[in-house]
Amino acid sequence: MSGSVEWTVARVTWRLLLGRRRWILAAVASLLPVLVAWLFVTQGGDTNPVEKANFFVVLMATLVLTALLPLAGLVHGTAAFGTELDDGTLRYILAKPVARWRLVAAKLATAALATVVTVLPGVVVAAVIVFGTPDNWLLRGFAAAVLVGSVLYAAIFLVLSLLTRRALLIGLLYVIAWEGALSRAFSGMRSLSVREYAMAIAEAAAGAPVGGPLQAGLESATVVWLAVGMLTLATAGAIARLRVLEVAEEV
Amino acid sequence: MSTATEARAAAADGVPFARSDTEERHNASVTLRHASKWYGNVVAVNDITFELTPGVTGLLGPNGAGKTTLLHLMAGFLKPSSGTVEVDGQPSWKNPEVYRRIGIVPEREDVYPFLTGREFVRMNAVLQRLPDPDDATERAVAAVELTRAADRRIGTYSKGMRQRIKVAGALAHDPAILLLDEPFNGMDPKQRLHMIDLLRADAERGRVIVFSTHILEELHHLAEQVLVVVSGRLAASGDFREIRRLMTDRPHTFTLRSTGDRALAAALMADDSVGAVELTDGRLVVRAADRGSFTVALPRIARDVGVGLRELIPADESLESVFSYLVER
Repeated sequence: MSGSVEWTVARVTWRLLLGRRRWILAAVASLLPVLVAWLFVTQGGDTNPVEKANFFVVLMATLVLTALLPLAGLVHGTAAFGTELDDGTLRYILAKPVARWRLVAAKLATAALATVVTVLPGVVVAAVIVFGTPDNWLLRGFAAAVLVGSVLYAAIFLVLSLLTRRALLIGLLYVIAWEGALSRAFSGMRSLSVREYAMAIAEAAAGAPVGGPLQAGLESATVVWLAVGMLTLATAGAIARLRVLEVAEEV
Repeated sequence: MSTATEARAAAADGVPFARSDTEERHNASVTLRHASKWYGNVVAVNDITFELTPGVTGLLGPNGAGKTTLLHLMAGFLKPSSGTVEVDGQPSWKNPEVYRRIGIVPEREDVYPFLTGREFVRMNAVLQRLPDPDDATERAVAAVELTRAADRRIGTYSKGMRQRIKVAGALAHDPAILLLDEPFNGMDPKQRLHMIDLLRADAERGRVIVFSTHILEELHHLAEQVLVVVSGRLAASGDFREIRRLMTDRPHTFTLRSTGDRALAAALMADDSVGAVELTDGRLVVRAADRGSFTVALPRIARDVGVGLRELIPADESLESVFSYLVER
């Protein structure tokens, strides 16, 4: 029975994140890499294994890790608390004798899972289309990258939604400016870029440098520590913030 | 007999809620000491002190008076800017444990539309960590008479049903203190009566019940104690009858038209219930000393002088004017 508080919060959150037509968004996000992979194959790009691998790496590094994954994390991470904050229903959850870390844990796990569900199916199907099989070292690498990236983005955007009511806008700027441009232009910023962590994890999980135009700039051991640090900081921040969150009425 | 059996038996008897630890209930209290809440330069609640004990207390005030802020302070959703807000001697801010003692019914209608009524109440019961959430759910749903609609999605509920399912959610853990923000909004007269019965029966069992309203008459059959809040301040407090007397027995202005304004004016001037009479634009403007005795006296006076009444309009009857009278008093 001890897990049922988290389970109850998680189930309601899941329905908030992927119910009410929001699943269409997830479906479209999943379809994008599939569509690009299908175009590549039908354009005759399925001849040479090196060309296939290069195409897949570029597809993952650009479309998936730079755009889809952070955006999915943004949408789900900010909504995990944000939807109920906006319509006032969070009061039903907050007015309970439940430690705040339990609520954050349940919401964070759900937001991370929703991000994985939004992004990973498209990655797997795209790999099957390109390589003809899901048993591929590059897919293993990028699947791991998606899993780790989902948790980190969900955590970052979840704490952001508790800090500001403009989380979606600020998050979008972060994705475009920080992850998209700055961290690639300045190597010092890589150590604070989830996208760079994801690339490094992809390499580590794939068991070999994935090559292509976008090589990871960080050591995988460093990345693990950085990622754990970032997750801890974001989660602790969310718990601390939720403890003192004032739920005001809308005037 | 165990507590659960007792509660079930009580539910079967049609008694809304009952439990054996009324001893504990009688100790329930909500105490505000010089509590204020401000946002920047805007003062929402200004130095309010009161203590609530078992029974029904009505929080009366015009819209924007600070009633919701006051309820939010009691519910621990807001940090008091100064002063203290305590539930059973424990601060309500930053203290989730007080929610074992409090049930909250917010004003906003939004309730997870994708959940069924039963799922919503059960969610509340589970998050309250009740030993038997299913039993608590059934009792709470039955108490608000929504058993038949319990498996429908809340999105399909009427306003009144939503209010009731919110109350059921707040009652799931049988709290000693129930805070309701404008609970009668959107309810039809029958639902209103049912809610009044439910709350009154609960209050008799020692629950502390606080509800806010901007309609004086909503307090009529329910609240023994009334707190009148105007512009964030406690303008008056006391017994419902006393507050109503203050609000109705105050100088009132009426405009009236009759078949013989001059004769009526002369007769009215002679009556004790009338302070002043003016004749303007073919209408009589009467300043009555108080509402009660004037409205009783008027038909008699008109009959005595043989004048027929055509129109009687009470002026400045807006709630705001009533409240500002109380504040100025």
